Amino acid sequence: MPNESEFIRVIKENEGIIFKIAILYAADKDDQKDLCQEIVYQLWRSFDSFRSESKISTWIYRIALNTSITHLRKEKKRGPKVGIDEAVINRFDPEDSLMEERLTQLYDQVKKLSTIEKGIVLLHLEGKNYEEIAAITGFTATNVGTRLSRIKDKLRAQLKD
Amino acid sequence: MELDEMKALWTEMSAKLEGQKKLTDKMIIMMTQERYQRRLSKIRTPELISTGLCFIMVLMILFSLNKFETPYLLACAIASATILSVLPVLSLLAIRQVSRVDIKASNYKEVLLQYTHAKRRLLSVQKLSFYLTFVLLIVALPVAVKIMGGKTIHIETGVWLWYLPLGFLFYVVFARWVYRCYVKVTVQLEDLLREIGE
Repeated sequence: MPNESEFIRVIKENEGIIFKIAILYAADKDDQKDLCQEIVYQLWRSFDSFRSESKISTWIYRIALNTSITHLRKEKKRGPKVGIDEAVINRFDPEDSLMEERLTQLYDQVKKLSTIEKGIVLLHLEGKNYEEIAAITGFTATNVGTRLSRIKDKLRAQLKD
Repeated sequence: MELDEMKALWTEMSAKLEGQKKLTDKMIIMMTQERYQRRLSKIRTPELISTGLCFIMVLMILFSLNKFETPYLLACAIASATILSVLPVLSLLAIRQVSRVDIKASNYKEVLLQYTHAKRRLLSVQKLSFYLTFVLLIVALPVAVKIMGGKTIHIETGVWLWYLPLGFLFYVVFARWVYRCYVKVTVQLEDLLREIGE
């Protein structure tokens, strides 16, 4: 059994990562809750296998992104939900409406990208360099650079549409 | 929004999130509990129920083998039993493969590859099921009537007249819709595989 208090500490320290990944991969708020739960569950299951060779955040990105790929989105396939507070998903106050509007635009644009591009762009937005993105995704650093440049073109093209 | 602009906004959002730790110990513990695992079993339950029903039908056919006195009826019974026993097993195996993608040991690229291949296999099984169900539609009728004590001669003269055209019409309409869905998903999977390989 993983160390419970240690796990809680790790999740609390990195809950922002889980929330941000869920936003970009889930279809709606209900789906975000579902994905957040699934990510935490998968992290719990894998917690014992974490070796300190990499940073804990790198490991979290990896498990969370991998979970998002296999996440089942269909409403009818949803199972029981634990009590994730609405406030966990609705993080911004009403006075942040301008920011929320801009963020919605950002999410919409990123959601139009392919699954591979979405993963790479998310890590780029998180401030990861090419080598770190390569370590998490399994693509080479050069390939990550090429893909990011293509993503930039794609985002520009989206603006023109 | 350009990528650089996105990054600035994302950084701003991340900073705000850092100041808003909202997950409580209780929430985290609940998310790790066994009851959440029921989510997966809920997905498998309909498949397991269908498999159980198929096997019950196979047993019914096997226990009634002595009733099928003509080679035609016996062939229909064997074909029905084979389809009913093979398809659910293939389907369950394909679903199992999708749910067994190794999340913790692999990176994003490998998980995408594993998942796409498993989904492709599942899609093939679904296609096969679809075509074999049509065969089952034809071969199961005389078998079912015989098991229920009826005489198959009545089917040849009466029931076939509406059963086959109606079944065929339903199948054609349904097949066109299913085919379009399969093509869409297959193209998506192929695109994804091509993109991974680039």
